[in-house]
Order: sequence, then C-alpha cells, then structure tokens
Amino acid sequence: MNEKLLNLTDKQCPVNELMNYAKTHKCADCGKCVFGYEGATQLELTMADITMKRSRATDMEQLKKLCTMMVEQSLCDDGIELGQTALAMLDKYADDFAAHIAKKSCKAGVCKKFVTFHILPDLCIGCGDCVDECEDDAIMGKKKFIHVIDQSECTQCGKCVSACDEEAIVMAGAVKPRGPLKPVPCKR
Amino acid sequence: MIKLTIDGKTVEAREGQSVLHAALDAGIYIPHLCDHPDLEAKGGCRLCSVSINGDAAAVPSCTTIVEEGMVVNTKSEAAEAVRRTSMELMLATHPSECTGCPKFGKCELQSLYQVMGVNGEDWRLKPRIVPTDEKNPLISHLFTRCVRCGRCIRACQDKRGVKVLDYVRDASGIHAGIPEGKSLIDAGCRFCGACIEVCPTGSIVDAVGLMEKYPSYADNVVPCSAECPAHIDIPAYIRAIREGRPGDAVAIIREKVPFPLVLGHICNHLCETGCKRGNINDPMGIRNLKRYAVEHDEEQAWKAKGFMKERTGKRVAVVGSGPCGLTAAYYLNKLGHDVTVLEKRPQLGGPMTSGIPAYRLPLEDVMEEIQYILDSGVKAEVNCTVTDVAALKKDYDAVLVAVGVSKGKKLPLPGADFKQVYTAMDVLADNRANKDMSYLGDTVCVIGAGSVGYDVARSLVRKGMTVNLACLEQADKILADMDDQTEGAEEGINLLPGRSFEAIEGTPDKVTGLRIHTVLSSTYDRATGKVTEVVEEGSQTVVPCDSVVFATGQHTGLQEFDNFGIELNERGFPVLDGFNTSMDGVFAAGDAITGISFVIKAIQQGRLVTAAIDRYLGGDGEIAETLCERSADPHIGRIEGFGKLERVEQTLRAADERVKDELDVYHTYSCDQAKCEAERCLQCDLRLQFTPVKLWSEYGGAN
Amino acid sequence: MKKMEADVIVVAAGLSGLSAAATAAENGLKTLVFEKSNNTGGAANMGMGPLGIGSRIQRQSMVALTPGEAFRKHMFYTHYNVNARLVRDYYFKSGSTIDWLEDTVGVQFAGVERMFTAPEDTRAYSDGEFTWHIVVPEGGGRPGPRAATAMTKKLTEYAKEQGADFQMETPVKSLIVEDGAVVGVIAVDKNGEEIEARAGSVIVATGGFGENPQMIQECTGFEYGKTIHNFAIPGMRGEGIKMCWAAGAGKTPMIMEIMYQLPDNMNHFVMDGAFRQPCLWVNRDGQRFMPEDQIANTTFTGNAIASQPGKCAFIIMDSKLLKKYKKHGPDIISRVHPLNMYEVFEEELERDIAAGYENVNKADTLEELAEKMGIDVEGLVAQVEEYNEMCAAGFDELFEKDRHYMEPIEKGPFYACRQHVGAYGSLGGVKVNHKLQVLTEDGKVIPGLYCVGTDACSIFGDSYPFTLPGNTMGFCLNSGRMAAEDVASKVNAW
Repeated sequence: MNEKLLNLTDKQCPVNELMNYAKTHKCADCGKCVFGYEGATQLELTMADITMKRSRATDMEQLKKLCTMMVEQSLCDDGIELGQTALAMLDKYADDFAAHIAKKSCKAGVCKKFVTFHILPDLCIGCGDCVDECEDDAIMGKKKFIHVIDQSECTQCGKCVSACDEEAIVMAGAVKPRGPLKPVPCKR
Repeated sequence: MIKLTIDGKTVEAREGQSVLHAALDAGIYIPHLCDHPDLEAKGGCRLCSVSINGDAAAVPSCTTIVEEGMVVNTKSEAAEAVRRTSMELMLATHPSECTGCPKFGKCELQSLYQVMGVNGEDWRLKPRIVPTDEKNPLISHLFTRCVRCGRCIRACQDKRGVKVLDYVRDASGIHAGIPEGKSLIDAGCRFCGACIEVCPTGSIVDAVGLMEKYPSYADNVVPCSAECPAHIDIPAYIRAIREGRPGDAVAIIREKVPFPLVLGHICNHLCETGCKRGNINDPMGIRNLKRYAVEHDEEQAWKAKGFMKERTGKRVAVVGSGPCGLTAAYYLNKLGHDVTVLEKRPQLGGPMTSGIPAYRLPLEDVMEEIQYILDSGVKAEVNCTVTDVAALKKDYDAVLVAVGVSKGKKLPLPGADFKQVYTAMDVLADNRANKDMSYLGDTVCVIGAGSVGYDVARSLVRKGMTVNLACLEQADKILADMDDQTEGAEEGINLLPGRSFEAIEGTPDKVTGLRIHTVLSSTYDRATGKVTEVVEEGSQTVVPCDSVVFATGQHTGLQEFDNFGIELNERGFPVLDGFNTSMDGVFAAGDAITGISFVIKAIQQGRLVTAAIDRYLGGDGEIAETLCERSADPHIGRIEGFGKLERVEQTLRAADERVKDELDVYHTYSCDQAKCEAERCLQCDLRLQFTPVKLWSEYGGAN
Repeated sequence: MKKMEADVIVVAAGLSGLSAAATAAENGLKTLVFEKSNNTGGAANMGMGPLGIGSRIQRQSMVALTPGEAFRKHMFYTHYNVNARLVRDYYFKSGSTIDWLEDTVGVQFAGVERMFTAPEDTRAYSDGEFTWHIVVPEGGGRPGPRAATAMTKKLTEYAKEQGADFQMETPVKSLIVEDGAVVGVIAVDKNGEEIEARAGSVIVATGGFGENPQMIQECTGFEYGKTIHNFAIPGMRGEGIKMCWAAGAGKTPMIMEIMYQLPDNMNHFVMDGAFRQPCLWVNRDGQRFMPEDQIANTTFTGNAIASQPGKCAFIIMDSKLLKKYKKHGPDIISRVHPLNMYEVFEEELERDIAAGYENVNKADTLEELAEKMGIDVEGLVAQVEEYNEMCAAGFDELFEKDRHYMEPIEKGPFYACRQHVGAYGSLGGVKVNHKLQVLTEDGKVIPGLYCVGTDACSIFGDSYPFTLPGNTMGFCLNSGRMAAEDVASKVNAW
C-alpha cells in the first residue's frame, strides 16, 4: 500500500491524487489482467469524472466493490496494491469524496471545476488587464467600468488572478462574493 | 482419473487437468476468454471464476487444478459477480459497434456477452482507438477490438517461439501488437497465422478475401493443397524435405498420386498459384521440391506401406495408358480387381512418353514409375487399338475409356491439307520415338503458342531447325507458362504473337510459306465461337517455311471409329452421367471427358473414376491411404529475415548448351537449395492443429 | 452426400429465423435450422429491442397507442404503397409477440421507449411513438447497445428446448425445387461436405445484402465505400434473396435502410458522436439543406444527405460551440456515443488529422476550413454570414429551426466534419403475401417457400419509419412467427 497517499496535506485533493496515481500506476502500463488494467482505467476515469462534476451517486459504492475485486482477482501484487491503496483512500477520505460528489466542493481547492472566479467590485479599477489575459473572452467590461466575469464562458483557468495588479480577482467555493451582474462605472 | 463434483454433477478428469477443462469436457459450460485449450492458462480475464469447496472466494478455474473430491460451484455469488464485473470492464473500453467487424457472428466476445447478457454501461466508457493496419501481407490488424487476452502473444511467443507479438503501449493504452511499430516482415513474422487462429475477437484477422475462395475452412487456410487437383498434403511434404526426410516426402505425395517424379518435372503447379508465400514475395517452388524429394528417396520406404485388398476376381479393362488410365489401373489393382491396360501405341504412358519432349520429362523417369505400377500387378498390352467397346465389355466386368485427346486438330485454312502440314501430336510422337524429323525441312511454322506449341517449337529447335511460333494471342496473353516463353526465346524461337492466319502458300506437295497478318486485338465470343479481330492495316506478310505444324487443339479421335459402342456428343466426347457412359459398366475419365488438361488433373480423374468403378463392382470406393505418419512441431522458432527469403530456382542449363541435346534443361535442387527453399514455407497447416474453441451455444443450449 | 429430413427448414438463425424456428418447434414441427456463422442472432445482436404495439408492458406504461392507430399511421407514412394486409397482421400480432417473449421465452424488457422527441413545432405529425421494447441484459444490468443479445440467446435456448436442430457453420447453397414447389435445401457443412435436407416447407431468413457491394449497386444504385458507408455485417450477402429468385420468386423494390455515419466509424467514433449536433449543416456548395433540429431522425437526415451534391454533408462548429458542449453537454444526447467525447475531442481530432483521415478537420478561418474540407469557400462564408445574422435575430428565416439551437459560428478555430450516407442494412427483395408465402412476379404462391425478416421486408416504402421505432426487429420477429404458424397450421391440419 502506498502510505504517502494516506497522509495527504491540506493542499492535496484525494480525488486528484488517486486519479494521478491510477493513471501512472504500473497496472496502467501492463494489460495482462482485466482487474489490474481495466480497474486502473476505471479508477482514473471515475476520479476524472468526479473532478469534472460528472460523478454519479453510485460511484463510491461501485469503486469499493471494484477495488475489493482488484485485491482478490489481480494477477500480481501491483494490482493488489493499487486496489488496497484505493480502498484505504476511499475509506480514510470518505468525507472528501462525498463532498466532491454531493456538494461539488474541493476542500483543497484543487478541483478547478468546483470553483468560480470573481472580481471584487471594491478593488476593480477598470484597467482591462484581465480582459487582455482571458483567452475565453469571459470577462465583460470596458475602461473605468467594474469588470464582471461571465460564468457561463469562464473555464476556470485562473490566469486573470495573476494578471490583476489590484488583487481584485478571487477564487470562491460555495460562498460567492457579491458584485454587479453587468459592468457598471467604477466608484474609484 | 480424478473424480470431482461440478455444480452437483460428478465429473471425471485427468490428473493435472484444470477445473475449467474438466467442466467443459463434461459438457458443463463455464464462460472463458483468455484461456485457450492449446495455450498455457494465465487467469487474466477471470471470466471462468468458480468457487471451490464452499469457499466464498472466487478463483479462476483455468489455473485451478482438479483434486480428488473437489466440489466446484460455477455459479456461486462471488464467481458470478467477478465474472460479470470483468466482462463489463472489458466491454466498457471495447467498441460498441460490432457491425462491420469481420468477426461478427463468429466472435467469442460477442458470444460471451450474448450468454452473459452484460454490457459496460454502468462504467466509464472509453474507446481505445488504434488505427487499423492492413499494410502487412496476409494478416490485418484491427487492434481497436483487442481485449488484451494475450492469446496471440502466447501463441506467437511460447507456442511458436517466433516472438513477434507482445503487449505494446500507445496513446490509447495497451494492446497486443508489434513493438516499435515495425512491419510484420521487419519484425521477423513467419506468417504461420497462429495469432489469427487464437484471436477471440476481430483484432487479428486474415487479410480481406483470403478466407472466401473455398467452402471449407481448411482449404482456405491451406490453399496450396486446395488448389492441387489431387489435394496432395503439400505443407507436410515440404516439412519432411526441410527436416531431411525426402523418403517421407515421397510417401506423402504418393498417398495421392502414383507419378511423383513425372509431376516433379512437368506439373503445371496450380498449388503455387494458391501458395500464400506468394502474397509476401514469391510462392514456394513446390514442384521443384517434389522432384528433389523423389530423386533423393533412397530407401523408398513407401513401397512397403499402403493397402492391397484381397482379390475380387473382377476384371477391368482400361483403354489408354496415359496418367488417368494408369492411375486408375494402379488403384483398381490395389482394390483387388484384375486390371488390363490396353494401349494403341508401342509404349505405355500416353502423352508422358509420346508427347511431352524428353528435355522436359526424361523417358527413364516416366518408365520407372510405370514399371512400379506393372510390378504391383497391373497387366498391359501395347499396340492394341480398341475400336469396339461393346465387344470388349463382354470380356470384362467393367471398362474404363481413358483414351485422352491424342488426335490433333487443324484450323480450316486454305492449304491445310497440303502434305507438309502436320499436327503437333504426330510431330511430338515422332520426336519422342527418335524418328528422323528431316521431313519437316529447315524452316517450320508452328501455329498455336500453348504448352503443346512450345513443346513442338522447342523440340524442333533442338533438331537444328529454324522455328517460327505464331499465335493469335497478344504477347502478354500467351497461353504457355512463363518458363516456356522465356526459355523458348533464349533457345531462339521466333515468336510471332498477335497474328492471324490466312493461308498456307505453295502446292499440295510443297509448302512455301504461311500467309499471316497482324491483329491489334481480338475477342472471342464463347457463345458463337466466333473471333472478332482488329487488323493492323497493311500488315499482311508471308513467312517462308518448309512445313507447318498445327498446335491448335486436340480431340479424342473416338468418332473416327464406325461403332465404338458408347454414345458420343457432336465434339466426339462421350455422353456422360458422372463417369458413366451410355453403356452399363463402361466408364470414361481423363482428358477424354474434360478435354485437354494437365497430368495432375488426369491423375485426379483416375482416382475419382476408380472410386466409381469400385462401387460399381461392389466395393466401397475407398482409396485413401496413409503412407507416412505426420508429425509437425508447432514450435517453429525465429528465422531472421524470414519474410525476405527469396525463392530458390533450379539451375537452368545455358541455352546454347541445352539446344544441342535432349537432356533435361534443369538441374535438380542441391540438398542445400532444397532445404533453403523448404525453409521458406509458411506452414499454413500448423494453424489447423489448434483446437477450435467451442462457444456456449455448442454446449447444448441452456447450461 | 449427407441426407436430412424435417417438417420445416429455416435458412439462417438471425432474429427472424430464430423466431420462426422457436415458433415452429413449439408447434410440434420437426425443425431444422442452418446457420453459416457459429453464433445465432445475426444482426439482431447489435440492436436493443423490437417494436411491439398493444403489449402488456405498453399498457402498464400508459401508452395508449393501439395497433389500429399504428397501422393507420404506418399506411399514411407509406402512402399505401405497401402491403396493407401484411402491415395489419404484423402490427396486430406485435403486442402478443412481446408478451410471448416475456411469458414463454423468458425475455425481460426494461420498458418501452421512443427513438426521439420531435421538435415542438413538428410533434403533431413527426413525434416518435413509444413502441420500442428495450431488452434487459441478462441478470438485470443497464440496457445499452447490444442489449438484444439477451433476447437472441433466450430465443436460441428456447428453440433448442422445443427440439429445433441447429446446424451451425453450415450455409445453405440452394433450394431444391421439384415440380414448381420447394421441397428442401442443399447445404454445405464446415468440412465442405454437402447436405441434402428435405422438408415440407422452407423459411428463408438470411438478413438481406448489406455485405454485398455488387448487389447494393445493382439493386439500390449506391456504391459501397463511395456513396454509402453502411454496416456490412459479415455474411449478409443476399444469398437467401437470390435463392428465392432462382426458385421463381418475384422482386420487390429494394432499398438501403438509410442513416448517416463516418467511414471507418469504429475508429472515429468520438468524432462521429461529437459532431451529431444541431449546429450548422451545409452541403458541398456551403448551403444549408435542412432544419438541423431534425438530425436525430437519422433516416430522414441520411435521405437529405443522399440528395446533396456528392452525397455528403458538412457539419460546422466553432470554438464557442465546442466549449459549450464541453461544459454543458451536447444539445442532442446520443445513446451510443461516450459521454466524455468532448473532453477527448481535440486529442482525437489531432490524431485523425495527423493520420490523414480526411473527414474531419479544423482551421483558424472559415475560408481555410472550407478549402481543407472541399466546401465551396464563397458559398460557406456567405451562408455563415446569413446564418449568424439570423442567430442574432433569434429566428431562422430559412427553415425555422428550433431557436434553442441558433448559435452563431463566429469564433475560430472552426471545426468541420464530412458526414456520409450510411445504412443499417438492406430492405426487401422477395415478394411475399401476408402469410409470408413467397409469390412469383405475377402473384402466384410458390408452394413450400416462405421468406421472412429483412429479405422480405418491403413494408416501409422508401424509408425506415423511425417514428415507430424497433420496426426492423419487430418485422423480423413477427414475420418469422407468422410464417412458422402458417406452416404449422398446414402440417397439423387434419
């Protein structure tokens, strides 16, 4: 069992960690047994779906059964180890997984699909630097107007945050900061 | 034997057998995929999961060995759950579209999801797309359909020892394939087809069109034997030659034909047109190997084998001693009948001794094989022309008319009745009888460039004559085989292709030339028999010559007799029902019913008519015999550069040397040459050693 | 030559042959089935379930459609060009066939569905009906593609239980005709040995000619691999049709069961799925040719594509649309394509372009895209301009496409896909009456010969009726039963 994955820091998201672990595991590079190879594939794909807000209510239960079978039915120790590690993570970080699935919330803030970006109206000076940076044309506004992020266009890349010298752009989880729906003239 | 219980049924199994195969042998179906009866079990797919002795856990039955008193439950909850999950996981990454898959209807995976009724819908679906590779000869790779069962890899690595296939990784994941993206030839593939045979899905399949020519699967797999009219077991005798057992090779050939050496010289080798090696570079030199084998068969061990039935007291007359008549005589004698061969010429052998020239077929080689037939008990009379079959039939229980087509035909040209206008049959017979040929003069025109035309032309070149060989076909459509064409050209034959014939010039006593013109193209209407020509303007010319020889077809000559006794059609061939003629107990076969053909075809006719005559005489018609037990090592190993091994040709004597004599134009293979050539064989027949995998539906329906 | 005898011989064990065999056997007939593959079910193994009208499941699901209504709808759709008596008998039987499958054969159904919901404005006449009975995979998993294999398996088992004799890998080569009546077949087993099998009746059920390019060309005018890219299920070579013709059967109009798809579909499945959206569809001239909200009806769309120059159509998306699909999922959800197809879209596209697959491409400008795909450049640019204006106005003045789908094509890179005419298989060939007895050209019954399933299915007129889904399988199942029952009524009569 991989102990490192059972001692994650606050900055590490167990869903992402498990996804990357499965993706780069020896089992993903072998193919000799169904439970090792396809098991690793399903672990990776399911974790990826969870981070992309495409989780299903049955995911945890299904994966636990799968991992148990991986432990019992893999051809070699690699598959057994992956199954055991995943099982232990699903158990130890059950709350994190549940939060990802049920509330679309990532405590560590790693899952970008769960967060939104916002421009704080009090700090925005209407300079337009963020607009230039945004590749998705998701920021509305013009000179001297408080800029607003169009959430339906935003892909959560986060580039605007570093583009803003005023530190007016913030990431938010479940609780969103207040602000105008459309650009309005700056107060400052 | 070990006794165990499977699903409540007592089953006997062999020591060391797996639980899976014990169950399957007992008719109890357990789904399975990565297991193959002929490959080492690995237990990767887990579809064959069972529970043992009431244990809750599921174990793969393919890697579990039977034990006395073992209690197996194939349907335990754990086993079913593992089985279903495994199948679902595989289907989640397998293409959901089976239409267009070459294995549709014959796919093990399809049959498994049919019996298990599962799909991958509960899981994350991910197609693993691998571009289809149809660039390799003989084998197509559609690895999008690979389920990583590893059967092809085990077959290639362990069973065959060729070690071309392995698990490979690309952007889409892991699948079976050729490492480093090599072509099969570069990777050292021996094209044995084991991978195709064991692949449960449509991932590795025979290239398009390869498996559709014949109704039987085995014939499609081994097309050389299928193409051979006598169905000689060609891969087996090539194997014997490679392994230094020419005697065994001859025995294998002799199971089907009594003229191996004749065929080794002059067979038209249809087998080579079927040979799959031809899809890689050039087909195997099958005919040449046959000759090599016979010429190196010291002990002739086959003579002591084979059946010889008790005498039946039945008498059979065979009219004609060509390859068909002698073959029938040989087998009818073995079946216990008293056989007398009646030959109109002074020598037995038909075209083998009175037609085909010595430089292609040495006389002593034919006579040796005929002598063996006589030694085996066949009686023969020469200089005996049968003109009335009805009379003959009175003295015999059955008569076989195998007179061949020994009468030449002439085209209806003005001057065709001149004295110095001959048919190929007469000229070749004189030539073979070492007669003085000077009656043909110094310059000859031969009309017709088929095999017979070339025989005449090349024989006359050897007499020092100037020979013009003219035919209607364009140069690229000449009927004779390529060897005749190139060797004939080297020997100085003046070929005039694309010519049409107007008249023979001269007087009835003195031919002076052949008047011809050039045709740019011609079409033959099968329905009316009419030829339509596009003539080159102003091309009319006269080729000066002293005589003209027609090599433009032959017929039986039977219509020349007033009352031969059997009904003939308007072309002079017997009217037939199967091999039966219009008279009870009188049969006909060979060229006399098929029209001019090749020796191997005539031999097969002889075999077939033997069966018919034997049944008529109260026998079972069975002439199959095994003269050599087969053994073939499935472990063929690697041969570097196998795909690029070039065909070894027999050494051809120099043209200026060979036109001076009547000796064989080829030197037989040396021992090394024969082994090198035999080494090139793909051994397609090894595929048939694999045990076919039975699907659920073959276990009597519901389990 | 081996000899066999039976009351009835069924030629091929696809769905129609299986249902004929099961029905014949359960009526006490000695039944002999020849199948050239080594597995049963044929093309039905790909499907999800058959049509049924008036089944118990339907009534329990509050589906009010009656066989009589469906019959009227079908006949209106086909303009009474097809055999009304046959359609009537088929539809009125179809409900009880579903009940038979459930109660007697043991097939489970997940429920009854329709193929698609029509756009709102068109529902009065083009909405899908709930006739499609989806088979539950054995053991109760989620139904998906291939679900119908559970049904073919159950039917096979049931037919065997009832005593039907299956000769696998044994194709029938010809019918034995004596004095104008069909009295048996000549088959060849896998070792090449011939079998002469005789029976009072022969039911031909070989599934059409989808894998026979020559017949496709001769009978429908399409060129396989060029103007049509149909499913070519190995073995569907029209042998049964030819056998019947050789025995004197009359011909019916023959069509391909049209839809649309990408060539080499299996290896380009993501692309095929991702572009199946009601965005902007144009022909080679760059012109729109249908309201894109109709594309879920794959038959109609296939027909529309077939009548465009070059028999192809181009689907155009821009980066904004792609982003939208990626983020919010597609506008039209497919049952068969993977859900994550937009995530892997760019990766797949790059690979296809690198591999030289010419049916998809991308470009930074529309002009470049048109150039690469072989669309008329000016035509496309003008069309996009006009279309974008209509999108801005929120109304499709050309086809009145559903306004939900009016998304402009404006932001590069632009993506395009060339769709081709496809087909599920062929339809029709052998002329039959409402008892599935084969008729000569002038309508006389050929004694002893029946033809069922796809070989005899000419009740759809010129196009598959997607509004009454499950119809191909439905006809196979029911025609097989109807023929076998007619044979049984004769054998068992006194």
